Amino acid sequence: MGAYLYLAPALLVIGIFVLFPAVDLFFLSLCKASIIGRTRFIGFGNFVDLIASRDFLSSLKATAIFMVSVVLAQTFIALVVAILSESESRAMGLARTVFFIPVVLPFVVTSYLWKFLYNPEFGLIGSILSWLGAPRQGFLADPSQALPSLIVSCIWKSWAFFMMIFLAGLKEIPRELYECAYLEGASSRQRVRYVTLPLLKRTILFVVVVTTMDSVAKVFTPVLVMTDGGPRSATDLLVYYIWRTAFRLGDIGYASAVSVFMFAFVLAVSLVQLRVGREWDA
Amino acid sequence: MRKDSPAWDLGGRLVLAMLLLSIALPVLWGLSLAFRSNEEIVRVGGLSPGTFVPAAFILDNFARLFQAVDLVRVIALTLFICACVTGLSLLLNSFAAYAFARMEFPGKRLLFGIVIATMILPIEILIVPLYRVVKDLGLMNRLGSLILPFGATGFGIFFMRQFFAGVPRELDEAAVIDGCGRAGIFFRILLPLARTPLVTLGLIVFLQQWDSFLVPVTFISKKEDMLLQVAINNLYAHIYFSDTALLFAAMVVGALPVIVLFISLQRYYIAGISSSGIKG
Repeated sequence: MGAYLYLAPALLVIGIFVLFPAVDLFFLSLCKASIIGRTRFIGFGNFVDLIASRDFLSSLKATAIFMVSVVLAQTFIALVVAILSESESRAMGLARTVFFIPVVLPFVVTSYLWKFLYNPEFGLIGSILSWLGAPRQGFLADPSQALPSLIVSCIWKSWAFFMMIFLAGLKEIPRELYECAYLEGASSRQRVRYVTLPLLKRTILFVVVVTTMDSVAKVFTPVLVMTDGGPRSATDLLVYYIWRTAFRLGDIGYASAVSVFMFAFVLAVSLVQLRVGREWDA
Repeated sequence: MRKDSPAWDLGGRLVLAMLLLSIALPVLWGLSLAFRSNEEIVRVGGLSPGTFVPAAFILDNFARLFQAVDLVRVIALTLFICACVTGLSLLLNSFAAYAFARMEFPGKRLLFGIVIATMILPIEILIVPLYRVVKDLGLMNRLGSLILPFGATGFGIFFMRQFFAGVPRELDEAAVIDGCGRAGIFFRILLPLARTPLVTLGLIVFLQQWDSFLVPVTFISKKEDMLLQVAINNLYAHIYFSDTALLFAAMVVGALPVIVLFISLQRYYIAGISSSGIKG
């Protein structure tokens, strides 16, 4: 009995603020529900509306582009830098600390920083481009550049976090394997190719799966701060679409349906990744 | 032993140098805006190497910031919330972790499985039903809505359990012989040993809460109860739209504490990330 006493407070919190909402989310997604009015069960009506909605489809497309770009580019950068900066030297330690600064900075702060870096009048990126002789760009103000600009800023913010996970994975690789490869006359590139990468497969898979959910869920702040979903809905990613549908338009039934869809979408992608990863590992 | 062809080495160094620059330049540029006048920001326009350092470090922006918002109150409140969540979650997560690591009871595997499964549910997905719960509990516009939902987390329980499970059981047995009960084992043996993981988890939770934006922006509309990140956003979004210098001064205030905290406790933070990676 004593065990439950120790468990009760934590389980109560998780039950009330995570599990109950998770169940309620499914229920709400099947209801016509507004933020102030009553809730009425309507079955799959919201999902029918959702698939027919152009706003939703464009939001889904932008989210998919965002997800794929972030997962690929961010994982690649994190992995390469982890391999390059693995040494224990003081200089590398200092470099890793600098790399980590964007990770610890508040998201509101980095989002405003990037909003202004992209500023067409006095932003740093525009001025660097103009020294190089490139024409002035719209960045966040340009519907075709806004999403890529957002992607770059989000990768800048987070890649070093995953570098740290790769570094932890690298530490697990026995030194002897590298020594063996070295004695066999393998070059650096071959050592990476035949020792590091194969032994890092599980870590890579873990990072990819975590990044997939993260990239889709953790973009609320940068979107609200940098673009407010615009221009012309170019950066209206699903989490933001959900939030503004629920809290600005008050349609919480529909917003819940989008949430359920988004969760199922990420889950499906993750399962495929795990499946492919397992075959690849075998 | 890892020395190799100079080209490979040089290429690697070049990549690292570029990345260092890609972080240092924007951060220093942003910092510099906090010490310029608005007039200078626009006049200097596209910065050139000669104007990268502000002409005269102006502290006026910070002075104006303290007049524009009740900054002392905002920071005190933010610190208070961060401290409450950190304290509460360390306590509740450790309690639960202790039960999962050391006790046998019916439903243990199932409960632990559920706790672990909650890790795949980010708050962004649950924000709509969470809003309903908060409203039904009468927590709207109350500080409880910022604290209670984070009082225990799947990650926190998992993280502490991994540590407790690694502590030899002989210590518990010795304590029992000395007359300790369950609570005694927990408070006298396990918690004191868990200093490092507690600092690590505490730091992670604290930084997360300092960064918190979605939840306060959704649940708190009273202006007096604004948290720091919301206050920074409001400065730009609602009050001083074109006052770039003021915004950047606020951003420096919002960033400074976490930078200091991170640099001084870096070791713990890295340890936390590492363990989350390996266990996956």
